[in-house]
Amino acid sequence: MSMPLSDITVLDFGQIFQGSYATVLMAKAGANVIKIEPPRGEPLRHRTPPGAKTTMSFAMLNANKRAITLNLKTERGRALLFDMVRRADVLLENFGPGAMDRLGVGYEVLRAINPRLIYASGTGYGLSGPSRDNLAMDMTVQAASGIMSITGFAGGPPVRAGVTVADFMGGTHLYGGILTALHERHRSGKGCLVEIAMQEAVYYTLAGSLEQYNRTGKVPGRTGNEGTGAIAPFGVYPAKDGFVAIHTGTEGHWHNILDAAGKPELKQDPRYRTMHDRSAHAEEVNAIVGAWTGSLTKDEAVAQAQKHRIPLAPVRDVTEVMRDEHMHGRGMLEWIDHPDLGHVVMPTTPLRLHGQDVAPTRPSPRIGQHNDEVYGGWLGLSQAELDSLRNDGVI
Amino acid sequence: MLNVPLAGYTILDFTQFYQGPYATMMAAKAGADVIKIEPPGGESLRLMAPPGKETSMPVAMLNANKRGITLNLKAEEGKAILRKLVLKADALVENYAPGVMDRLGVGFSVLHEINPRMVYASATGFGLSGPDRDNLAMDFTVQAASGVMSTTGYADGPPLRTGAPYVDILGGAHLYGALMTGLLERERTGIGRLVEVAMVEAVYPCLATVLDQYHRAGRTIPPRTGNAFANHNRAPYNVYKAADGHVAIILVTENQWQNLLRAMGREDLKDDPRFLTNTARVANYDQTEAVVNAWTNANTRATIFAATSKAKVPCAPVRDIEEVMNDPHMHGRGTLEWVDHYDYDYPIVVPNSALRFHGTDKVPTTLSPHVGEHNEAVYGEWLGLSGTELARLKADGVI
Repeated sequence: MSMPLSDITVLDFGQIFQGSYATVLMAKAGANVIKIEPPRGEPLRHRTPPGAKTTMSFAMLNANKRAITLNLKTERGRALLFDMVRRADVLLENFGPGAMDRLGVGYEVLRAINPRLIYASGTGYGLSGPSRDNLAMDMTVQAASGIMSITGFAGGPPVRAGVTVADFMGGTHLYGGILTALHERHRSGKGCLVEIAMQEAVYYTLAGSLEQYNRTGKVPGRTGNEGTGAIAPFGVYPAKDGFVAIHTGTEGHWHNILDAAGKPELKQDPRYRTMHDRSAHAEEVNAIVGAWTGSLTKDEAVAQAQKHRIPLAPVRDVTEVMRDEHMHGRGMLEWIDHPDLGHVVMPTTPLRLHGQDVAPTRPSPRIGQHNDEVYGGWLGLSQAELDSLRNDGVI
Repeated sequence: MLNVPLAGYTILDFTQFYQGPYATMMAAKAGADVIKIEPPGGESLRLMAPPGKETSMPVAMLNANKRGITLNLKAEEGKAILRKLVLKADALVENYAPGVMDRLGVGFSVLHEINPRMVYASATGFGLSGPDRDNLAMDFTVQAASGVMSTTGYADGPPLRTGAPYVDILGGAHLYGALMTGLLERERTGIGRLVEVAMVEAVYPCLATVLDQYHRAGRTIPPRTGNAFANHNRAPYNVYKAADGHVAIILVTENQWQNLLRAMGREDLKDDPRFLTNTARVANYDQTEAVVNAWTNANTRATIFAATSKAKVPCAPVRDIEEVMNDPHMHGRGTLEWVDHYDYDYPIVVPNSALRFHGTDKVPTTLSPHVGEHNEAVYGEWLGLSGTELARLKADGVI
C-alpha cells in the first residue's frame, strides 16, 4: 500500500460532522486516525435510535478510524493525552471555542509538550471576534452566513439547503488547513494552530450575489430555481417522471437544446438570439424548454443531453445517487457489510491521487473498540493499568 | 520575506469560473506564487463582467493574490512556452472538462514527462473516468444530479436549488486538499501525481443526514421538509418569522427546551408533558411550533438572538448578504476587508482565505489581476524572455 499520509498520526476529537469529516478524509489517505471520545461516546452516537447500534452518518464519518475513550476531566486522562500528544502529528477538535483550554489541554499547553504538533480547531465563528461564542450548528450558520437568505421562492420564507453544507464545507477546509500546516512543518520544523470557522468557509459561495448587490445596490432576493434572471434557459424543468435541471452557459448550448427539441428554426429567431434576448423572453424560452423536457423521462432527457451536449442533469433522489453506476464504477461508492448496519453503500474519499492507494474501507468502530490496541499496543500500558483506568472511569 | 506555509511554491493556474480558482486562491493566500494563465481574451468568468470591465465580484474574490498572464494554448509556440513554465513549477491546476488538456497536447502524461515532480490537479463535475465523465457540469446541474436538490424545498413544491453555488466552492475546497496532499506526498517520494476531484463526489458526504433518515424510515426517502428536520423528527427545529425578518432556532439537546422556555419567558410550560422531551414535542409538533412562533412573531431578531444567546439555545438571525458583508465579527477577525478595486467606483469588501494559520504571516491582499497584467514579470523576469520576444509573442497572439 502506498498512501500519502501513511506516516501521520492524528488524535481526533472531532464530533458530529465538521471535525469528523476532516479526519475521515485523512484516514482514507492513509493516516493513523485515533478517534478519542468521552466514555459514553461523542454526541453523534447519542442520535442512534433505540435498539440500533449506529447510524449511517456515524458510519460514513468514522470509517477507517480506531476508537478509544478518554475522560479529559480526570488528571490521569489528561496525562494519557499528553503521552499521546508526544507521539502524534496532528490533534483536531471541534468543540466550542475555549473548551480545551478550560480542560487544561489547550493549544499552548500541548505545544509545549510537542512543538511539532499541528493543532486544528473547527468552530462556527472562529476563535476570536465578537461572535466567537455564538452557538453554531449547520442550520444556524446557514442562517447567519447569508446562504439561507438567497434560497427559496420569491415571496416565501428563506429556506435552508436540505443538506448540512456548512458542516461539510468547514470539514473540507479543515482538511486543507491541516495539510497546509504539514507543509509548513516540513519547512520550519514547527507545528501551528490551524483554525477554520464555518461561517468563513461558506463566504465565497456568496460571490455571485455580492456582485448583484454591488452592481445594483439592491439586496438580492430569493428566486427559487430561476437564478438571477441573467441566464436563460436556467431552471428546474418537468420530466415525465420527475424533474431535470438545465444551466446554459453559451449560445451553443441553446442551439443544442433546439436541435434536441426538434426546433432548429428558432436559432435565428431574434427573440432568442443572445443570452440577453432570451432573458428578456424568459417565459417563452422556458415554455419551449419545458415542452421538450416534459415529453421525456429523466433518462431520456439525459441521453439527449449527452448526445447534443446540453448542460442538463436529472434531479435525483438519494437512492438514485447511492446506486449511481458512475460513482460505483469509479470506486467512490461501494457496498460494504457493516457489522451494525448490514449491507449498505458507503463513500470513500473525493480526494483521488492517481498512483496512490486509498485505504481499504474499515467500518466505523464501536465506542472504545480499540482501547486495548492503542493504550496497550501503542502507549505500552499493561493489562492491569488498562483495567484500573476502566474501573476509575478514565477511559 | 513573509513567514507563510507555502512560501517557495509556484503554481500554474489554468482554472476558470469558481471551482478551480477557489482552490488556487487559497494557495495564493497561503503564500504560494500562483500564476493565473488565461487565454488572451481572459477566462470565461470574465465574460460575465459588465461591458468594459474585466472584473465582477466573483473574479475579484476568487483571483486575489494571483499574478495574471495570458497564453494561447492553441498556438504551437504557446505550448512550447507552457513546457518551459512547467519545468519551473511545483503544480498545475485546471478545471477544464475531462480531456481538454490532452486534446491540446498538454495533458498530464505529457507534462509529467517534462517535470515528474510537478503535481497536476484536475477538477471536473463527474471525474476523469466513468460513464458520466463527459456530462456537462455546472454547480446547478450537479446540485440536481448529486441528490442535494431533491432534499431542498417543500414537500408540496418542486426540488429547490440552494441559491449559493456551494457545490462549486466545496469542490474547490476539496481540490485544494487534494493539491496539498499531492504536494506533501511529493516531498516524500519526489513524484508529482495526477490528483483529481469530482464535484458530484465532493458533495456526496453532505447527504449523510438524509441517508441516515432514509435508513431509519425503513428505506423510504424522506420528503422535503423546508426548514424543518427530516421527517419532522426534531422540534423546535425551523426558521421562524420574527417581527423584522426570520430566525433559525434548533434544539439539539433535551435541556435546551428548558433554556428556550426561559428565553421566551414561558417557564409556565416547564413541566407540561406535551413538550418535555423531543419525542413529546414531535408528537405535538404543531403546538410546539405555535409556542415558538407566538414568541418570535412578536419580537425582533436582535431581541430573540439576545435572549437565546443568554439562555444557551442555538439560534441565528437569517441575515441578508449586506448584513453579512458588513459583519463586525468577520471584519474584526480580518476575514473581510474593504479595498479599492480598479474596476469599481467605490470600495468593495473582499474576503481572505478561510484557512488561518496562527503564528504565520497574513499574505497582504493584492487585487485580482488585469488580464495579462504580469506577462512581463513572468515571461520576462522569470522565464528570461527579452522585450522583443515578448512584443512578438503578443503580436502573434501567443500571449
